Amino acid sequence: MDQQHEQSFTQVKTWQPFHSPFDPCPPIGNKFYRTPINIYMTFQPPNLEQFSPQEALRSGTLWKVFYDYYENPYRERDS
Amino acid sequence: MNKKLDAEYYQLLEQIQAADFVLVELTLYLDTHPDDQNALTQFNQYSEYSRQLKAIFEPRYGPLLQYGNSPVGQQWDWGSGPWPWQV
Repeated sequence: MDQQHEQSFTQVKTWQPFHSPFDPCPPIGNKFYRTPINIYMTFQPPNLEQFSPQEALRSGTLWKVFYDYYENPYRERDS
Repeated sequence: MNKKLDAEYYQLLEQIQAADFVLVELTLYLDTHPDDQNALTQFNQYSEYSRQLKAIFEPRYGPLLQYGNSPVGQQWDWGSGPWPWQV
């Protein structure tokens, strides 16, 4: 189980919900959920790499590893 | 009556915000890591830095804190805008 975890490590995970044939709505396909790094890091180690104060203010965290942002996975990317 | 705001006002205010955010983060960190000397040193540095920034900011643009926590000078302008959330 743990090894599998290591191999498939990603910040965004997906699963496919069951879609009933009687569901009037079209299936959404994949459901997405984020698993940020802090849930794997049981206790924060000291001396992690930091953002500059200005970057930290905009990122919402002082430590680079904890920076986690939301991106709509259903929206097609333009770039 | 509104205070006059120039580019320096925004620059200083952002520096204060950024420094204070570092202090918030380090406070939370030090709560769980009270023996981390590096973090403690950094906290003290930023605490001093934040105090210096506010010492520059307040005589020019008015007090940031009330109830005697900031010098108010000769004129009472606490009620004159704009407020921090309006800038």
